[in-house]
Amino acid sequence: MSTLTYTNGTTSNRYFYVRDILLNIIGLKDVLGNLVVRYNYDAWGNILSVTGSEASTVGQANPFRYKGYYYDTETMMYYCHSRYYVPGWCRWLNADDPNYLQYDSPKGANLFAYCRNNPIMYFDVSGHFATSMFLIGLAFSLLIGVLLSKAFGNQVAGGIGSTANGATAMYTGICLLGFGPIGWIAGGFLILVGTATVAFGVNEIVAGVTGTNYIQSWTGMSDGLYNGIYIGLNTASTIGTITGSIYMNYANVSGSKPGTQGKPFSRYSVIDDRGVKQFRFFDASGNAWYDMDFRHAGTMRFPHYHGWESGLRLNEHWSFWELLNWLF
Amino acid sequence: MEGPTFLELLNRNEEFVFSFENVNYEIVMGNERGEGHKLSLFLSDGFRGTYLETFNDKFDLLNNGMLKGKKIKDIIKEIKVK
Repeated sequence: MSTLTYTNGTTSNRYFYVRDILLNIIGLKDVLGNLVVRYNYDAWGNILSVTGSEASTVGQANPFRYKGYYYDTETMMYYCHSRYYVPGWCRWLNADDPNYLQYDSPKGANLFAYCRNNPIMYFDVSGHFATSMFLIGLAFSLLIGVLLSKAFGNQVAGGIGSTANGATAMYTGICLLGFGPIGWIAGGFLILVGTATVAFGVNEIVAGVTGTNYIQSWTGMSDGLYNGIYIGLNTASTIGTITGSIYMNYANVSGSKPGTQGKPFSRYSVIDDRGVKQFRFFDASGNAWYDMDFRHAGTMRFPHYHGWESGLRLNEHWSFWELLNWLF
Repeated sequence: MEGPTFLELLNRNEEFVFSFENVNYEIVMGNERGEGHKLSLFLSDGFRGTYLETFNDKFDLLNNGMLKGKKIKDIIKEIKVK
């Protein structure tokens, strides 16, 4: 695990980096596990906020930020070995080597373009080559699959892959539950599909080890039907995970000032210096739909909900069941 | 990005934090426990805040609410929404 040692006067403390799946450093934890710094970026790496109890000290001193690049606080640029990336301009400070020109692609013909103008799917630590996060993940998965096949045989390796696939789908489904009614339906479905995929994966592992396919022996399923369900579940889990992740990437917006308009079926996370304070959900037309409050002044219970009607927030502090009653 | 003003937030019944002369306050719908259709003013000084007063509606708050001895309607331009 990557750590940072920060010396303030005569005191040295160790901190642990917190990364997200896109390799961004999103926070620092102290040795007790407390999140003491939280970084917020936009897609291009502009730092939206540095918050937390130690934001002004180690939060500013830590140079590793967006995608793990080295941040220069004076110039507000990222050092990427061969050149500097300027997040405010969404491009590199200077041109790449002309040898990297790709005349057949508009993006490849622009030597200043950062990550093919797609900062979510690519990263570029060298300043020369945009690396696809998707391809890295795919190559890594294939390598693991080959190694597992060699070690345990195809059936067990397939079972392990299926179990991991199902578990990922379940995790995505659980995350989707936080995205309002669309997320509840999609997330619930994905949790069911993921659970079944895990069950079939575990069954394959057991069958590979013991030689007995318990699902087939209990249900009397034919080989064709069993294989069809097994492949179908894995396909559904994979598609569900990808689709769910794309939706969450679209729907998840954060900041400190929520408005009454947003992207259709999106969720705005209101963040202050103590973390997430509120979710605001938007309906199909992009109008404020309902709020989920996690904390504010008063002695009412949390979380609670407020509906919106015709641009006005309703006063009542609802329970989840009262919200469901209002929604449906 | 320019955020909504105190009056805009008040007009759409939002619960929000604002500051006046470096003191943070919070407006919450209902009474201290969030019940009813009035609105309450709190000092935003902790997780639950410190309860100050409940008003019948936003007009009552603007006309009769006082911050540091000044009526809210008179200092509305000096209030900063957090």
